[in-house]
Amino acid sequence: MLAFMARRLLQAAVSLFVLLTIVFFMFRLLPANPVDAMVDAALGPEAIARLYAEFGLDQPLWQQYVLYLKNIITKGDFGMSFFFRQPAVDILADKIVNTLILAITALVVAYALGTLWGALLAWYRGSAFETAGITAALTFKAAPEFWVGMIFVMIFAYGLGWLPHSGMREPGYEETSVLLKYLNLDFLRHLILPATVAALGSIATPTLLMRNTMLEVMHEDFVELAKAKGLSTLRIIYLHAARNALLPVVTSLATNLGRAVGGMVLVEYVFSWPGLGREIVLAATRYDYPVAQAAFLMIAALVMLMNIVADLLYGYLDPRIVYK
Amino acid sequence: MSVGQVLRALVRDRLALAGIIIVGGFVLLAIFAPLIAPYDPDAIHRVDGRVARLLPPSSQFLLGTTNLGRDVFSQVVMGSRIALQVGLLAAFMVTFVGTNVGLIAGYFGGRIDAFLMRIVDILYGIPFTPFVILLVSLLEPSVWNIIIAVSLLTWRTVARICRAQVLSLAQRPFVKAARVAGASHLRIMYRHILPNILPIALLEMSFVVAWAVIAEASVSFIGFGDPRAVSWGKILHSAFIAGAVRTAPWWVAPPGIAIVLLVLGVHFITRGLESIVNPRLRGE
Amino acid sequence: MLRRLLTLLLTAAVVFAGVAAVHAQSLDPARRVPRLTFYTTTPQYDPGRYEAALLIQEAFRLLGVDVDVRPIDQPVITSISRSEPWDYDGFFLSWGSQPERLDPHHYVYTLFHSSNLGHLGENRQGFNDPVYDAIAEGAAVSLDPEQRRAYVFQAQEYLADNVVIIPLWFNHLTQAYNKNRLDNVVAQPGLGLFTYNSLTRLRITQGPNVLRVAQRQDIDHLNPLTVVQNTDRQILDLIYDFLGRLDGDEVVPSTAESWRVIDNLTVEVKIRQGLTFHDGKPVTAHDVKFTWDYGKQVGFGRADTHVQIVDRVDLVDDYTVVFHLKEPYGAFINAAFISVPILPKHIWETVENPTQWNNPNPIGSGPFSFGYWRRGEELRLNRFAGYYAPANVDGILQIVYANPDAIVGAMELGDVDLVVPQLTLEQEQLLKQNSHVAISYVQGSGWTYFAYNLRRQPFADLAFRKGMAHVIDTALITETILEDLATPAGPGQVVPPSAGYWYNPDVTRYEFDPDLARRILAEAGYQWDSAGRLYLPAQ
Repeated sequence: MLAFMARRLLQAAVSLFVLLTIVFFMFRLLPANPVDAMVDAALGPEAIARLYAEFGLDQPLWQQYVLYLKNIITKGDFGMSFFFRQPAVDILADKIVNTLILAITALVVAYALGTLWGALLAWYRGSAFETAGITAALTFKAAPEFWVGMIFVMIFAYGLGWLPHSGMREPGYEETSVLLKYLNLDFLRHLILPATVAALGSIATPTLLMRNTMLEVMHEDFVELAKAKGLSTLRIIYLHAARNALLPVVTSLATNLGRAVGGMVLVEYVFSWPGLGREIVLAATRYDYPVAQAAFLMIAALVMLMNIVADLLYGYLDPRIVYK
Repeated sequence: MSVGQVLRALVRDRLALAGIIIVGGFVLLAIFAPLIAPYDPDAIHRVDGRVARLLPPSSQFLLGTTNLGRDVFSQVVMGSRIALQVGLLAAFMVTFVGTNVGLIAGYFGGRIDAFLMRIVDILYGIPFTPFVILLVSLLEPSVWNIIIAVSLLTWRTVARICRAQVLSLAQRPFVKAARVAGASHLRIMYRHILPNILPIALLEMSFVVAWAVIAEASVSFIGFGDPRAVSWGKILHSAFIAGAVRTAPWWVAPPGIAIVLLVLGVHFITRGLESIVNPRLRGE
Repeated sequence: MLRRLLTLLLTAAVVFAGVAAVHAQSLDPARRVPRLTFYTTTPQYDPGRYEAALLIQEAFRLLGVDVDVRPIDQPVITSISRSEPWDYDGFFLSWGSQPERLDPHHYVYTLFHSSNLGHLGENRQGFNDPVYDAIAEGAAVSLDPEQRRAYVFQAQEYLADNVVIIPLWFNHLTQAYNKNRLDNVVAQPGLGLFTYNSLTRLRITQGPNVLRVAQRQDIDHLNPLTVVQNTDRQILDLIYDFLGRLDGDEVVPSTAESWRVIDNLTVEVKIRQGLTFHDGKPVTAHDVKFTWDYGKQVGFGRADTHVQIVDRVDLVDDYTVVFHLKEPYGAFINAAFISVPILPKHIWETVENPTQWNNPNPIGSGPFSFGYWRRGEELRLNRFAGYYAPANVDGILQIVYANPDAIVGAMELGDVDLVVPQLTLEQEQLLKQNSHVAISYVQGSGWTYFAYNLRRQPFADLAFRKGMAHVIDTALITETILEDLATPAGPGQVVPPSAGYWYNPDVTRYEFDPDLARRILAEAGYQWDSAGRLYLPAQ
């Protein structure tokens, strides 16, 4: 078990290193650089040369690369953002929290509702209810999140005026404590629309997964036994059958969580949510290499970590799996 | 199960049949798009000498016009070409690469397998949208580069699934028999094993079609699509950027509905395929 | 417009037919005008420049020249257009509205003088003309406005006569504000509402006395030595004070009380007494001298030329300094005084590595002090009561919205009082319908242009450029893309009308006339083959 963990972590570290190298050189191959991205500045050759020197872009490529790796390994320093003049990691830290809150809320809601719904669909297999249910789930999956977002904003924010159309908090809020920053009604109100849109976009996966695994356990003896005992339908579905069908759903939640962090870009864009996705897009479009590289690395690390967690969960929930 | 049997079973599934009809409709639309579209989608129309900005639907402009006097209906019709091109080509490339990698990794095992699976691991860690932006900046924005980006990042899933399938197939008696009979690696891989993983590859392929269509729309929507192509995502992007979402529903609704319909059709087919590949899901 | 289009098509048809008949004999293929490559922004980045490129592609077709329009990432155009080996035929970019661009130095000297021809220089199109250099130098060195204006006028005429560049339109600043809440709203010509003088003067008539402003892009950082983005600069202009400030058409004293031009190389400045920084320390001549000395030593970002031009600053007393310039610089007062923020010496002299610092809590002496900044969300400034002309509002809250639709929504719902980013035509139409919204229209100080590579054929040839000028209809292009939210420009019109005093309205204008264009080309020896394709003159 420990050996398994150690091997997986080592593999992840190697993968991250390769990824970092690829991203590093991809950025340097781009046909423009951060100074070109300083729009409308008319700096002149001397000022531009000074900027190159400040950013370390006047060094040979391999030296930049060696220095970059050295700083990461010895100091945990991912470099300074060219535009923010702050360490790249600081730039990303609060953004990743914002995105995680959005992603976790959306996924937890999607998985909670999806599993319940999927179990029902399995139970009523072959009926018109099932067809309608599946069609609904697939429609949510087929609708692009940004389009649903646009429509929701139109209806619930501009039309009915129930919820705010963008942002994370009411402008000009008082900042009290770190915890209260997130645990308050205002924040919750702002979270509802983007989280709902993101949840709708991902609800089909748990629904269909749950339905499929349910169908597989449905034929097993203990369900028949429960039926014979005359237990109520709902009781059988959720207390007996569903429990045994949850395994793949839970592991898929873990892996999807890793991926969702990088996949919230569109929801963040439509709802002006100050998240990691928007930050990466901004960094990539203006060649802010340190920020973009650190963000790529962070997301990749998270995905790999969640994959390991999924594997462990799998083993924990299903004792038949042996790690070797 | 052969591909032919799969198709026949598919037509018997109600939802899958609906999917085939929807997707088939879009294919016809794409093929005859230049005949159906009344105007050049890029033409700037003028009414009484002034640019026909944001006209609501009329007999002249079936779905109204954009802020630059372009015909929305023509744009949406032509957009079906980009959507299908991206969906089908990406799916084909992904399936081709993924199946082969899965086949090779699963069949040979050992170091080759470990190496290929490491690549798959790395690809899993790359966030899609930022990667597309990076690639598009590197190579100029175009439909092709979006297809390449989608393909580069998506074959991993297919490879992984095919590999698992191959691993179990390699232990089957018919493969062992072929090996004893002295068949070459290539022959065993492509004559004996491949046909057995094709249905599942087909299933994955249809997942990718749907995913690629949405991916192209998303990338275009945030502004990194092909500047010259009229794609549904880009139509929505233009409307959003112009600030016409609330004033011109005729500009925003049709491309969105087109995306939903096409992708839904593909999902229906996918679900049908899934229940054929895995009969227990039919729930009879 | 429609008639014009029709004439255009008819002429084209007639000319093609005529040309085909006359030039039946074969032409040397080496002389054929090659397919030209024009770089423009993607429609996603800026629909205007992309559409303009397509319309100009059409115009070149009238001359029998094929054009490849390549929409590409904006930084890539910047890179290609100003870097060796300048491998392009044409490109579309634009100059934004900035205070020092109301002075003609940037447009007349920086962009076209031969000293800026090199790698990364701003004379991107490669204009190398000794006659023009002399005019531009005259405009650059004179500190006498009358004399300087004569040169600036001459420069505009010369650039127009030689079709050196084609500004397509002068950008307008179309901004929305809540008229129920705001009073005394006066836009600064060339810059709009989000400027020092507008913001200090406007009053809030009802509700909380804090101005809420919508922005599209957040600031990056607030270190005046390294700032390059306009959004950062707009905020720094409020936090820091300057020797002079732009007010209407003129530069008026601010941190300076007065200045006196002693000669072409010497300017004496008296500092206003009683000013303090936001931390209570007084503003003196020592801070002014420090700002220039320090800037020269560590570099001053986008204000760099304005500090490097100074040879030394002499301290006369605590409230008087004398600037000694390295060489005469006509824009010293109009550009340098309004773009070099006065830094507090007591803070900056202890900063290590000042250009790697993000200045998290900027202390200046401007009308607003820094409150807080929540990146990606909002930025708060507070009224500084110690300013010599304090603002009427208690503070400014700048809110960031990730997309243009959210900004319009916020304005409609009354969540913000002022929208800073330029409105599109559709947004303007939509917002106009709200009874609480007023729109401020004012000409900006920038322009969007089509530039071409004068280093190679066909643009190296004046006749070709003149012919081209007669097929590019800037009025039609502007109307198609922006209706009346911009003013059409034309060849050589590099000084925006908003620059008032410096703007020369009487330069050569090129009417849209494809016939004339072809006559000009034919007279210069250009020929067309049977397919209507253009060939360069023999030799």
